Amino acid sequence: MASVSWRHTLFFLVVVNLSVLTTACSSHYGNAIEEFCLAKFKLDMEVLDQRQWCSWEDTVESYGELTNCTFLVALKMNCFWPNRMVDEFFIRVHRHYFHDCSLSGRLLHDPPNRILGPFIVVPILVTLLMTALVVWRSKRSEGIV
Amino acid sequence: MSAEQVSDIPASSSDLSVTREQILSAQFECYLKIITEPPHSGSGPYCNRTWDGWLCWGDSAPGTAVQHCPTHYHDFDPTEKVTKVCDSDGQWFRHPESNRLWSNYTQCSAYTKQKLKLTSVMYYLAMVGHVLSIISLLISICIFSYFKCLSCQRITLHKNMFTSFILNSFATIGWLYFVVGEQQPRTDSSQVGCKLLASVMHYTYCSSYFWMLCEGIYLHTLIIVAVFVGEQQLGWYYVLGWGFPVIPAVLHTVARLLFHDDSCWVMNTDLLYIIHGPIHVALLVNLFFLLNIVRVLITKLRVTHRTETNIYMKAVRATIILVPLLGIQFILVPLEPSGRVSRAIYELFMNVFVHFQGLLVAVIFCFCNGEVQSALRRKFAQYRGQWKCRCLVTTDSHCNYHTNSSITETSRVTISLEHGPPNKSSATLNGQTNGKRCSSSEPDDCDSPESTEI
Repeated sequence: MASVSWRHTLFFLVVVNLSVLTTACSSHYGNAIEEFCLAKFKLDMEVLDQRQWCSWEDTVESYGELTNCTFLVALKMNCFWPNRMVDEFFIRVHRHYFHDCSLSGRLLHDPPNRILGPFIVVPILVTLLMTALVVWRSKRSEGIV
Repeated sequence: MSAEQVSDIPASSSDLSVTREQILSAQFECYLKIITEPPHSGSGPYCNRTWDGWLCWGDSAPGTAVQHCPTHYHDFDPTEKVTKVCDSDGQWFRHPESNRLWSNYTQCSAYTKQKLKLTSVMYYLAMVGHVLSIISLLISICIFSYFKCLSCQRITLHKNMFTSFILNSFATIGWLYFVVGEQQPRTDSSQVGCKLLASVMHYTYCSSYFWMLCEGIYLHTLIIVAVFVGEQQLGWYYVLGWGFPVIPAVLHTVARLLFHDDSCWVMNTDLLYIIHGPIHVALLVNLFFLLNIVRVLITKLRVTHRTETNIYMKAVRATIILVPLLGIQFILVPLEPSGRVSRAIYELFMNVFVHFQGLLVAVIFCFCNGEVQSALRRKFAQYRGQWKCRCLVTTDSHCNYHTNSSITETSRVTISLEHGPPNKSSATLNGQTNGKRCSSSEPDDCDSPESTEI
């Protein structure tokens, strides 16, 4: 047990001292994206008013850059993207900045049923009304009601 | 990311940026969903919720999680499925070669080439169908307009219905060419153009079904509701046929612009029910009216007016054949099969039903119409200069009894039979009903009941 933990410590020290890692993906990736990518994103978000954080139009650019940054670091560090560390990173980002944003509305999707319903039901009702009206008017035009 | 996708379809730069934004939005909403969803409720090991680069996956029990393919790329078919395997120890599947977390997206683009071939076949089929429809409907309208003796109120309704089918065919040809045929990048002005065309297409589509409804209402009024009436006021029919479809078309346009404004409105969404809802209702109401007519004809009139019943039945027959045929595409929609080959066959049938409707209407209402056929035959014979007017009068003198072909006149004859000598009263009634009627020297241009088919 002690030898295993000593080996792990040695490995970690070696890893930390290397500036560019060209071998397998490691937990250093998590630190790297925190350092390189999150800093810029923090600056971008601080420029915006806190109320604008949930506005997709205002944040899409910086969010895109953040994502791209994590991808590039993954390429450099020979990690596949996305991975568990990316998930955890973005979960932290979302918990901090976007925790009360609406869950939908950025992708094209159908409106909810309470909006769709009237749009569909109204023409159907008008159809039935118009049909009844036409039948009634034809009946009346005979002169014998 | 999962399996590399090589796209054979060239994507413009605007398409790529749209794709990138779409994936980014999906990713954003995925992480929002991840942080807001309640934790996994089941017991035992499970795979954690994750974003795999294209799709969002929730907490899954060991097994295979399935989702529909995303629409991020043009060659991804959203009807195909994506699978992601969760191991029994709560880890997502890793690809054996690269040891990366891997979702199976291979099905999304595996059959795209064949489907593109099929789509182009359907495209040409649709174009052919609409062109044939336009030609046959124009010929029918010409026939109805040229032979003045055929004209009556029912024929006027036919002509309006044919016009709406012709407009529908033109709009559909234009829209299909614009959306499917053209591959140019979508500029703003072309967006406005194709959305306008889509609205016009929906309006004319709705209008053709409502003219069918007008035909049904007219027959119903004539035979059951107002048997003693003279000419009906056609104004309200025009309102129902041309005016009312504006309402669903405008509502759909507004809803589409507000809620689902995709490029050229190509995507099938629930918003299309704004158009199809009234169409379904119109078909059902039409069917109800026609079945009611048949019921009345069979039960009530058979005893008293046998010959007239036959005439009415023959007239109703055309409409009652056509209503289910026009509606059959809607009945078939829920029966869409899931297999690839069977779905291709299904789509072929649907395309034929939908795009050849104009041709079907023209054939049933005009080319198979006995009056039209005999009028054409007579004209052809007359053109050859073989017949004399007097021969026509003497051979069919007894047809004056039932000389009236359209239903309006038939109901009058029924009344006149009870009141006086048929020849005199029917002749006067003839003069009243159709101002454009043929002169008395050719009373049988509209002919005897035996040929009053469909």
